[in-house]
Amino acid sequence: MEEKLVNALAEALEMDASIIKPEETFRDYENYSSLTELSMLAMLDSEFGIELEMKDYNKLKTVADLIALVSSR
Amino acid sequence: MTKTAFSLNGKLIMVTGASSGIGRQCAVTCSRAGARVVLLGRDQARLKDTLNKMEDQDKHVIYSVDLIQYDRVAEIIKDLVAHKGRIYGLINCAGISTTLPLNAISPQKMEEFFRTNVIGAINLTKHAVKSAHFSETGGSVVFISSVMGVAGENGKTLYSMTKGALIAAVRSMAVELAPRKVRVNTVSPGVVESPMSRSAVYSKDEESLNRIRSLHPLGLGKPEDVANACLFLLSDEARWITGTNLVVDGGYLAR
Repeated sequence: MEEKLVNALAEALEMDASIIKPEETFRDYENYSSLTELSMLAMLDSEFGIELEMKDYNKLKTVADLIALVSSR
Repeated sequence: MTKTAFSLNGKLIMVTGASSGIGRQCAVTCSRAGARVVLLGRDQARLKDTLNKMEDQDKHVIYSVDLIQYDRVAEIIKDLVAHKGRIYGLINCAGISTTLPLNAISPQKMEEFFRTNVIGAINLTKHAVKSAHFSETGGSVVFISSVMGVAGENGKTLYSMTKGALIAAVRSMAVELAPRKVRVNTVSPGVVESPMSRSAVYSKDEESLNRIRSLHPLGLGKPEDVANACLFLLSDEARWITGTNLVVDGGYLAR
């Protein structure tokens, strides 16, 4: 699940999956913007069947938080 | 009856997407102008809510239908004409919107948007304007497009692609149907305060909403601003107007 999430995150942010680390804050990635944020939400829905409210999405900070989210479903 | 500037007295007018937003207001405005209105939408209960806001409620009729059920649409038109007579006008309001970067758009999403925003509307129009179904003295068809049909914005590829398609298709329909005095036009609103815009990403915080407001010199629109433009295009006063795109955007495109 971790590998699938990291690859999907890399696709959404158009970055190299190999530089993504669980402890990193994903909003700090260079390609993160209000627009790629929508890609993230669309990715969580289409790849993992997770529809998040913004207030819940905003609580997620690190790549590890995302991994935990998709692993819990 | 609340008076309107233009009259549709006794005319049979179909409105799609009549369960909310611009479609709901178009139905209400047409009823105030004296029309017999045919309300189409997916949700029967919400169509009834619209009906409750209309004048002369017993004159109107509701059909609960998803317009991408293409065969059912053909049956509904036949049933409608058999019971209510010939159709004079049609306002195609049903549509969906989203904000998604190009990177997040799949072919499936593109097909879904095209089906709902373009094919559903043009298929309905095809059946409605058949000689056996439509007013023999001519009439008027309106498609709700958008300023996004002629201008771009981040994340609007899906929506723009469908709204631009309507503007283009309307020109050819207008030429083809002109010999029968059937006029076909688009109305292109800017951002209107409606359920569609309230659920949009730019409404999620005050800062984003203020940016959108600032792009509209006259401020955000209201559903009645768009419905009034549709009423004009349906009326006899617009008899020499066809194949055009009436922009109703509070100055968005003027910038």
